[in-house]
Amino acid sequence: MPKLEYFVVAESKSVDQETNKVSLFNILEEVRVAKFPVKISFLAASSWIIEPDDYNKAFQATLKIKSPTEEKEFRANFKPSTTRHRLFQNIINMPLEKSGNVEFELSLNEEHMASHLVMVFGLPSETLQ
Amino acid sequence: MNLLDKIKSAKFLTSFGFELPTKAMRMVLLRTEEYTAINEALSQGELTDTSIREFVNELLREFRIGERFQYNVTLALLAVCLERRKTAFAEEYLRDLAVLSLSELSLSTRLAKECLKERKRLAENNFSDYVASDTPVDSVFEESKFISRLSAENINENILYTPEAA
Repeated sequence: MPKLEYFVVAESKSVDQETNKVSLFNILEEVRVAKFPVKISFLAASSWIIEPDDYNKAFQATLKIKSPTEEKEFRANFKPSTTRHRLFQNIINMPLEKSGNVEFELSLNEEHMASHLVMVFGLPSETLQ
Repeated sequence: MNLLDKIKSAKFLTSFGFELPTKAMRMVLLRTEEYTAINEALSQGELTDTSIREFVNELLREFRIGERFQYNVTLALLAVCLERRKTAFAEEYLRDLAVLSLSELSLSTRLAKECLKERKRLAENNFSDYVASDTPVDSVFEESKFISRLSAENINENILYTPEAA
């Protein structure tokens, strides 16, 4: 079974086409939005260490996003063939109705592996005089 | 003398003495100053895949069937230099060299095979894009950064995972 090396939710990423080095930009912990409803895009990045016994086997990573009002799942199927396998799951326009915690849960073959919490706030509607 | 000329010079080619076993030869090549210099030049853009391709084509003009290829070490060094480079040319170079079964090129062919094994340690990347909502956007968090991806789909849907098979 692949071993999770890291799991993080960020705003964007860059993978150097020549060196294969990865950079993740703006790890998301808190997000402030002007008004609700809003649609937010996220990048969930995970890296897996693969044992040779698992080369060319099919795996399924499921990213579950739990917002205060709904729950969505995004699946990625992969067959690793090298020691390290990176997954970049880009979620575009995730609707959010109100402020609150957005929890990202990553599982592999239906087994929970890791979580990442992003707190989403609206801007105060009035400022103190 | 430029870097590529240096790795085909008599001084470089005769600096290794006897041919070593493949793994040992790879280690020796990894420790050469030419290896460091070529990698530095590749990362700085002073050397490119195209310039290496042209250089190799030029070397191979001197290849003769039945004669030991004098630039075998040069091709082997380039294989080691390209081992961790994630470009189409690097992949092509290593694969094309590794499948040859010419005794004239035995050293570089063995090195290319070894480099392909080492290349297995490079991380694979799997990109999946999902559109969570396709309704009109009222208020999008940094929408512009992502708008170009809207038509993308999960590219790995063809890999079948079944819980029983796992």
